[in-house]
Amino acid sequence: MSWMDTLFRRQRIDRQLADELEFHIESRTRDLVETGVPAAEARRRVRMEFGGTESVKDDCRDVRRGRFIEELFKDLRYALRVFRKTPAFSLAAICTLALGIGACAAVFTVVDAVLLRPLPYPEPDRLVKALTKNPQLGVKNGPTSLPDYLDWRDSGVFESVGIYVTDNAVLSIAAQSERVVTATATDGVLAALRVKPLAGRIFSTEESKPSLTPVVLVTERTWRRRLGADPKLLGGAIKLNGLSLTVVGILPAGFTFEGDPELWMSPTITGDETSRDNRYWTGLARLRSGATRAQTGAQLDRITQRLAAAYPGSNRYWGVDLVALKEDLVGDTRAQLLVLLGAVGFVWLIVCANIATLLLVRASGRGREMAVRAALGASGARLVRQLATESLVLVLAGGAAGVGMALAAVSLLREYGPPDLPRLDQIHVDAISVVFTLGIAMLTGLLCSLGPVFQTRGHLPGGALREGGRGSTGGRRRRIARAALVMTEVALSIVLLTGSGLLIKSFWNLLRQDPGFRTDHLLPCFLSLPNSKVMENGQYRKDRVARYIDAVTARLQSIPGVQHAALGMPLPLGGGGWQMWSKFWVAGEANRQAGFVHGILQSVSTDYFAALGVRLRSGRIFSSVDRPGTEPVAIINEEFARPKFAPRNPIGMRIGIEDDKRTYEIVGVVDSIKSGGLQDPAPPQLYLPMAQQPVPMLTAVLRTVGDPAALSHTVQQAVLSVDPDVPAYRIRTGDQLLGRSLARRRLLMTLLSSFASIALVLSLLGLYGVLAYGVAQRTREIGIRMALGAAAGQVLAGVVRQGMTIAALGVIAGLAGALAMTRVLKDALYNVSPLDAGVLLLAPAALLLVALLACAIPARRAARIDPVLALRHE
Amino acid sequence: MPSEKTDLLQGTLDMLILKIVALGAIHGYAISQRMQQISGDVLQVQQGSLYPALHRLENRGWLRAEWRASESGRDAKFYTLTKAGRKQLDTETAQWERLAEAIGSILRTAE
Repeated sequence: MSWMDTLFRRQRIDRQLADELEFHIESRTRDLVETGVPAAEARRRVRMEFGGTESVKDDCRDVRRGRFIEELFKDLRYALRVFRKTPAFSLAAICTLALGIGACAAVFTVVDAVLLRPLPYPEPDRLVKALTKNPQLGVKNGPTSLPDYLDWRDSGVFESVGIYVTDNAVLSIAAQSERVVTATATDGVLAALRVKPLAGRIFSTEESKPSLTPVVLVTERTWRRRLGADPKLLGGAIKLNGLSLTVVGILPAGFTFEGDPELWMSPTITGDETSRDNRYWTGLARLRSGATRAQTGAQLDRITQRLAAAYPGSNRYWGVDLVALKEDLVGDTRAQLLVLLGAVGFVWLIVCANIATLLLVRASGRGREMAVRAALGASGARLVRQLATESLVLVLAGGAAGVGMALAAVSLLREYGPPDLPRLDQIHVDAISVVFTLGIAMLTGLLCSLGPVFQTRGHLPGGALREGGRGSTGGRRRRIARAALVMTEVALSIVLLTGSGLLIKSFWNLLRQDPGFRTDHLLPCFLSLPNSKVMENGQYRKDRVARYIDAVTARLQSIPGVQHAALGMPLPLGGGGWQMWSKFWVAGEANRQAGFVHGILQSVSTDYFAALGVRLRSGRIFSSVDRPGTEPVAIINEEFARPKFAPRNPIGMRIGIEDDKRTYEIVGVVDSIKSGGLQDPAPPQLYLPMAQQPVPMLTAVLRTVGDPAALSHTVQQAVLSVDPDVPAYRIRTGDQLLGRSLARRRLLMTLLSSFASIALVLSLLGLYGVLAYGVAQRTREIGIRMALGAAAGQVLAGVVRQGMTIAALGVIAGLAGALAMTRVLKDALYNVSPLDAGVLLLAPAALLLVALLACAIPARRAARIDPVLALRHE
Repeated sequence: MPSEKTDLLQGTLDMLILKIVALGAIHGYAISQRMQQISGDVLQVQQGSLYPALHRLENRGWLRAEWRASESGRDAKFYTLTKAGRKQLDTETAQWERLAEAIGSILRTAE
């Protein structure tokens, strides 16, 4: 009979057992009656012989295999009763556990989704990005050009290789126009990803050549959500950027790619695709089966060397790195997530130590109860199992609450997490994270119950009874065990505190960085003229673009509440947009190759600097004087001017730009704008007047009088009123832009700081608990001492000394740990050394100060003990 | 968990039960009767030991139990020996004989 049977058919078996014994009694009675004994006397005698049917039944049940489970249930019931009797303890323990397990589960879920889970493509390990580098220009992980890609493809070093660029386009359905994210790609990209279309086909190689009529692939989601799952879409046309394009395939549900494009387009003719210097494509390839990244990289190097020799003007110094797709996607998130995982691991350890301390303290208090049970015949193993069951019940309750917490945290993160966290949309609690959480919970239970279990082992009932009776502190070894646990907690807290201190200081440093413009009362948005509006017979129509720019600027300017409206590209602080890098040199300087400046080239309209709030250092800003046909002028930023011209005055000097025969007169110098993150140095920048160099890809920047967010709808309407095919998109305020660029650092800092605070509170609670318990246990002893003449101050000092010794030892151990471990934060820090003296001093000081508070309460209680009452204690 | 060590008394009781059950399907009361009879009233097994032993042997798979009508007409739990039980009986009997032999020879030498 299996134990399951015993468990679920216990009633039936009990009935059978009763029947069996009843049969015995009846038969025996009958036999006695047959020998002449009166019936009543016979029954009495049989019962005497039997010696209590219930104990026989118990013994019978005992031998059954299911007894283990039965005892487990008994233990569970007992545990629940114990917890009901001490609700404060139970609640505190469950909350602590929920915190520890929940935080672990949440962080692990993120780590799992971002770092561990494979990319959603077949054999993802063979996918690489082919990224260019040019040490001369300081380019790394850069884009490539179409002709270079064709050489890679034709060399056959990859199984498949393609190039793509993510962009966006206006999708017009009926009268509605909306910006959607698109990917322009060659067939090799989709082949490398091995995507099988839901319907239709992917691009052919022929279609992947730039053409005037690109073909389109629609993702299943867009097909369903935007296009009403129209089956006639395949082979039909959609209106994209004002062009009617043929849909040749629908991509399967669940297929995602970087930037989450809704539509995939084959390349369009732009007129510059034959230039090897026109690098804006990203290369994506699948390695040949069995080939390593290093082997393929070496083969590719030979091709790039050949190209560099054949086309020195465009390809000299350019090389290619093969970066695993996942590595590229995850980027520097890996280090940050691992830091978080480590931090949450520390919190978890502290939680375990805390619960273990709590249980230890409680187990000491229950020494008498255990001794009584042992004296009544419970075996040592039985008691250990009961204590382990109690811990497990606690941990499971905490674990369940923790899973709830993790779910909430993960959904919060998906909603409000930093937008640049890769694979953010794929973060969800899955089987792996549930298994992980369960594992963590079980491990927690084991760790927590170790202490009390060891304490129970080897207890002689007699000794424990006496000890419990006297109310002793539970022996030297146990006192040391508790102190060691609290010390560990303090040490781990110090490591976390220093880590978060460093991050806070570095965040503070970042916030003090001047982005070079004013983020308040600023409303930037994107508006881009599609090719159909600016190209005519393969000719770029500057005049049309200029006309549009004038019209939209005037329209935006006329919105009430808008102080300045201007157009430019790209947005600062990594806000997006086309970053055009170019080489500049001072006209007339002899050595062009050595003396050039590599920087961002952008066209801006007259009011641009006023709208962004960029300060003019010297000279003038653009004005209505700078029109087509007048003298070509330029403004440079401080980052350009200082290294290149100081101590000369750049105003009035002439600048040459790569691929441009004209030279431009510098008319002004402005403050540098941080184009990437606040932590990155501003690059050299050269501005041209929009009127002289109109560009079709634009951002509008508006300086508003009131709340910029309130104007976003008006702005949208205003832009549409100029051209219904050109909507404004990605409207954000300047402060949102700043927040976005800091989001990931803020998250890391916030999480680490909250982990550190939790750690601090928990370890001090641990310290408090151990001291308070010690004082309560020693009430009699302290009473005797005071009766013998010890002053209240001495008693107080004794308790404080004991507590502060534990804290100080913990702090020393923690500082050693912090010195060793904070260097993992190096990359996440800005202008702060991992060994920053201020932080390394402040964290322990803060902890010791609060520890003093935690000591003070039990110490005061000890000092107030009334000897007379204490001696009567218990 | 029940203790696995088999002291002389318990081991002996198990062996005797197995031996009696080996003679044919039998219920608990009859086992105690039979034991008393065969031993000429020397061995009297307590119910408090008999039934836990029966359940233990059943649990170990040495005995099989089924409910059927007894001689008195009432349903009773009848035990029969399983293959494993037969084997166990053989080893225990052999062990017992060896032990008895050893004890016997010691007692004889001591005389």
